Amino acid sequence: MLVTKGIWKNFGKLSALKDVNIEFKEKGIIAIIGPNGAGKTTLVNVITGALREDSGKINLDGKEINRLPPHARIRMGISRTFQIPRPFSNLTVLENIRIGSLFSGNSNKREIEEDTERIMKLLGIKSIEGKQAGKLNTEERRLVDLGRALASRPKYIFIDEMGAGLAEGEVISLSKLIKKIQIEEEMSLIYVGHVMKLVKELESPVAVFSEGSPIFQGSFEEVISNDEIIKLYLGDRYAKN
Amino acid sequence: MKFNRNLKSFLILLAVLIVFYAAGPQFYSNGAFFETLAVFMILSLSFNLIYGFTGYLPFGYAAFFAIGAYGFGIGIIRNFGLVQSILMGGLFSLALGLIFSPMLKLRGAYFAIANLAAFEGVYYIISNQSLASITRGPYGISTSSVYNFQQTYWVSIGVLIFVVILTYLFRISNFGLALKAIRDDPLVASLSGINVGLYRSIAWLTSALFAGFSGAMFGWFLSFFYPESVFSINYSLFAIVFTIFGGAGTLIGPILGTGFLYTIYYSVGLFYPLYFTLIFGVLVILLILFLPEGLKKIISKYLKWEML
Repeated sequence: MLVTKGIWKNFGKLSALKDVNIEFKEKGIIAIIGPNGAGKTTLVNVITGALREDSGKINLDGKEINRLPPHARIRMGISRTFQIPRPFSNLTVLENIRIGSLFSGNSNKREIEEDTERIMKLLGIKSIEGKQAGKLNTEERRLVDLGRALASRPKYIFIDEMGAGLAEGEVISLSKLIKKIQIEEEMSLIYVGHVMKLVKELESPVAVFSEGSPIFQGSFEEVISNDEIIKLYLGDRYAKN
Repeated sequence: MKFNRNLKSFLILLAVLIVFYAAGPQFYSNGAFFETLAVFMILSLSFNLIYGFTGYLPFGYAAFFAIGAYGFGIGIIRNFGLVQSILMGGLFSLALGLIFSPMLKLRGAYFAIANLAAFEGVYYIISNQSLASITRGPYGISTSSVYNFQQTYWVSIGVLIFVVILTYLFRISNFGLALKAIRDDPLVASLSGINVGLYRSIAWLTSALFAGFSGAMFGWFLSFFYPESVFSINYSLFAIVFTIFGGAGTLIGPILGTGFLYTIYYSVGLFYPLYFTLIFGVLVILLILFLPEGLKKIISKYLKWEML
């Protein structure tokens, strides 16, 4: 279980995270949604160690991980992708995925090769394994970024908005891919984003963030019929009461 | 398959280097040229370990070269013995690398400038009159008691071969792969499990150590040198220009770059001493303008071969 307790993070006078208490279960999918600036990505940054929180605690299976550097957290099973995908552009696709496995604490050479192969096949990028990542299109870059994060055999993977700018058909196939990944790799998958269509297709519990803290948790149907959330997204006049 | 091809290129390269340095002086009896060529090949390859693999550009890199010569010289005048003095050259430089390592927190131009300033600082310390009892200050150091050209020459070739092997290991290992990842994106590298600070420091210190050895070889060869003879920003420029011209981050690049440009540099100095700086300066400007990625780019574009 991954638990945050009373996380605060300020940027100057702006509080990006205000007293965030949230729990992530060991298996399954959860979606985190919320308007731009609600603190979703900041939360991912703090949990993975890319940013240091101002106060609060992060617990993984009862162990405090606040003071661990990012490279130690991934060895404990916390992995992530980026909203704007960031593969290593001078390395090949294969090398990108391999790095994810190579430095995640697994020293079994054969397993590293097997993981790399399996992930490339799962994501359908085996055919471009020799290509330099800097020369890929956006869609391929997203998959390589995801592959690198998956190759570390994460227990918790944070996928930061993969659905932006996709057509409806693409959203459906992406949601299928995400569900398939979660089932085959058996981890806790946290999807962070604001493409509602995708969140609906995931058929998972949803946590709604607003102004730096989670304000609601429930199923997708509960979320879209909740007045507070409708006000948050669409303004007062769309709420029923 | 790919590994075997790399191994083959590597073995051919080693053989070519050994034959070149063994047979070269038979055809062109200018030992000083071959010795200094070997010294600058070691320097470029060491520089490549930090610049080529991590992207840090140390403008004051000559400080490692100079402190290596001084470590060697101080060992000799204190009668520590030849081998010990050579090791001292490397260790002095390694220690300087450790002292400089907080600079790795700086990026880009800030790092380059801080490094240049540190170079000047080390120069003033070494050339300071009040430290003359240790460094001989401005009066210079004589290592003529151990002068033996043949010995210097073959030890230099030995060090060169060692650095070539080391660079090859950097090139093909997971460690080298991690360094390339760090150069591309340090944050993502760290979020992929790579201990960025540790890996960078290892590259930096290895680089400093071997630059120190190249300086020790140079001091041994000169047999008498002033602070100005080794603390010259020219040696930073040599390492930077030779490496970039050949292809930073590769094994063959710095060797080709040094071989090609240092030969031109040496001939211009020999035949047109008056126009020497002018000609070399113009050449460097042209290279940076038209060949910023060096021979590596040309070879991969026209010969379809990714340089080892």
